[in-house]
Amino acid sequence: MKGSFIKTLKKHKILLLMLMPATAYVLIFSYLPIAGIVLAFKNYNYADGIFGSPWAGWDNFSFFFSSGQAFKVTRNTLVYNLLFIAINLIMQVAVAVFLSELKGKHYRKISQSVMFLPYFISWVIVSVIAFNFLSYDYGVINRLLSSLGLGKMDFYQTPWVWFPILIFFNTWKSLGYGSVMYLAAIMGIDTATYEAADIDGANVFQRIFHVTLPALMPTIVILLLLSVGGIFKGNFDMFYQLIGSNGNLYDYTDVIDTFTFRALIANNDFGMAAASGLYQSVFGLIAVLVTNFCVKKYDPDYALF
Amino acid sequence: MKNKIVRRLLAGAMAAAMLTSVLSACGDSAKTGGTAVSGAAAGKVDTSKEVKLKMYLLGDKPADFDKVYEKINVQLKKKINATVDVSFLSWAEHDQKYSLLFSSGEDFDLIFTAAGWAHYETTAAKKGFYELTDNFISAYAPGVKKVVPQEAWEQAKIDGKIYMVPSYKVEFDQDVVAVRGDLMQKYGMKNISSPADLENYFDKVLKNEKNITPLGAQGTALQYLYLLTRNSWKEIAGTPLTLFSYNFNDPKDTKVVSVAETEQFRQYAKEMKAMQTKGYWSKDALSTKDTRSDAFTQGKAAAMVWNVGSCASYCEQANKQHPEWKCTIYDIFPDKKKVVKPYTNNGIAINASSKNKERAMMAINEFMTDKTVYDLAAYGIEGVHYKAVGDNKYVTAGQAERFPADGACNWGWNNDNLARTYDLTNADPVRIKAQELTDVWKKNMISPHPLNAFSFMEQNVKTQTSIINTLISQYMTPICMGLVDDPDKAIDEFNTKLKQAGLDRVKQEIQSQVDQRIAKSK
Repeated sequence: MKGSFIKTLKKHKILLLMLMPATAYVLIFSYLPIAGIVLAFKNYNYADGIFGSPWAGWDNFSFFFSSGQAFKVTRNTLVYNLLFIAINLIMQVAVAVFLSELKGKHYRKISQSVMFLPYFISWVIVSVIAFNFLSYDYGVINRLLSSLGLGKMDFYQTPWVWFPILIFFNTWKSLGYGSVMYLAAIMGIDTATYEAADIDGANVFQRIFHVTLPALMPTIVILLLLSVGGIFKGNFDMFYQLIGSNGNLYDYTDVIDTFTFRALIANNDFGMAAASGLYQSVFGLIAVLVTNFCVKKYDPDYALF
Repeated sequence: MKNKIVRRLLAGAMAAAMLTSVLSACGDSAKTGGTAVSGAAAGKVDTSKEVKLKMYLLGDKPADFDKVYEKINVQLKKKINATVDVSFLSWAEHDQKYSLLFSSGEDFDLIFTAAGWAHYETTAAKKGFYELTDNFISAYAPGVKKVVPQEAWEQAKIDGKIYMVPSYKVEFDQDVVAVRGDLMQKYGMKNISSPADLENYFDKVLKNEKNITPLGAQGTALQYLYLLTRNSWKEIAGTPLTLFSYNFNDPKDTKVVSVAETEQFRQYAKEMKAMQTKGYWSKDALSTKDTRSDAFTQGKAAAMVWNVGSCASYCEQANKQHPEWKCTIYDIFPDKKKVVKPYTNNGIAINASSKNKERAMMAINEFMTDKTVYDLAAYGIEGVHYKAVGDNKYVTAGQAERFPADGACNWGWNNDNLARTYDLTNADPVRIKAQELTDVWKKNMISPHPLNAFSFMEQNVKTQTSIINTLISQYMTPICMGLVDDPDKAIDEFNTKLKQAGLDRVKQEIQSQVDQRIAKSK
């Protein structure tokens, strides 16, 4: 047994070497920090450090659950993430399929780049762009509305409109980047299958629905499972930059991360921040397990583990 | 040795991925007890070994900072055989990074701090600062000991212990209004000395100016004036912002006022609603990215509300670019007595894990009491950034914007005995006006209230204050900006939520800490 292990090592040493950086990265940044969970149960101070600080029991969790906001922010986080995942999935796969079907090479490259570009714009800039569009006094949209003789729309005082606005910006920003993965997967599909489909007389739609999409399924499932893991984590950058400290919008836009940030920025309490992170991680794990279980029921080959 | 590295690695890596906010930590922050000081006089302290002190200041680094500190280091090297290496935490990042410096075990010696607005209470509660005992101060900073008044040391005490050297500076905690002189002239207004005058001015602006609004997008500009100054309230340091105050007019009155529950708050909310509806400030006030001075200095707002120093300097700046504006400042509550800021409003502290605490203390002593060092740190290089006028006055020189006077976070060691005031001969009228205002205030000063110096420690109720902090931005800010449909309803809802969050518990805790403090000082 031991001999065979060393043999395997020797046989695949180049491949294993290539795996090293990724393994080290995951080990250092994902596994080692797990010990830091202890911080969620500590009353942290600088002098005693993480492990020496006095225990606090479940006290650090109480701020979150006794706030009366836990349900609201958890609900918002979940609903937004579910929609983001669903819409991103559909849009990204659709875009990848369209791009792969395009014949003109230059047109394809250009449209791909244009869609990719928003990914590199920081949320700070996006928030300024959004403000210039949506502002009541000077916003492009309101200027347009009032010059057409229509009533102004007070975006920054109307919570529900942020629901579609946030979804729009999220999709706009992640579309190009997300579709690249699917596009790569499509490029990896054996051309022989397409040729066979052609010979069988399949039209474009039949080709997409019976060849491309089934071949994409494993990629879709894996990416889906990965994103489900973060379903309890709000995209802090986006929510914080676009909404900021506009309390009138919080009913529709407050997520766990922004709520925690607001609660703790004044007193910098590490323990409470860790507690809120742990809460998100535990429920994220449960979500992954449940999803994986469902996928396995449907088709064991697609499941992650 | 190896063990230590592993622990560091572990602790350092731990923080990166797990926490939602970027927190990092280190397992081996040095444990520090009080170093025994044998009462040695500063002159006898062994300074044969040269040390390099690392200092953190807040704010944005002026362009010529390094040039100025090169000169400071020459002087420090000569006197205490030490030099300082300074880094800045910018205004935008200090909230997050300040605590990281301590938790990551960063090796530094000195850091700016302030009660109420710059992390003093929270860092001291987490044992981040080195305790300054009386012996330690007398031994290594006898000059500081002489300059800083006893009252200031009392203010700096947390649980009876001192963790910062408070600055020695008498500063007024009072907002004034900066307005456009040309507009006032146009409307035939001579003076603004009451809220009614100010509103009159705003109404005229609304009626007559097409491209100027009264306050731009600064919706909370009037909060301190209309809610606090008018009622002679001052917020209690260390509590959730403007929610808990006391009556600073009467030193005997130490009752904690829970602002949101008062009738005055209701009235104020209705006023703000009426003002917002009239259009004194924009509906975008909650989401604007403008700073307080932007709209005013760009000519888009007819007024700006801030403390007297900031108002005066922005007026001066605006007058330089647009002399026809004739910007000036007014106190809209001239009859109200004014409150002085606590000395702990600026200060400097020593890191608990500093390896050179003694030399750090000696450096503070030089910064605060050595005239050469003081002038350099506060005003820059003579002839380049400022011109000295006598011993205690100055005017700006050619390169002033590369090192603005009092702009390089030298506030931690402010010392009114050494500070220069701006020479008013040939100065912009707004400077003279500012001087007049503070002179009147000084004459009108009230006997200090014991709570001016009180800082609340939230450790026992931090769960409740955390929740209250979220409620303030969600409910109170829109109310203060008049951006709610029905102020009465909004206040009721706010109060219900506050009660659920444990407002009474927090109020009780503040009151009991206040009572203890008063009992001790008697």
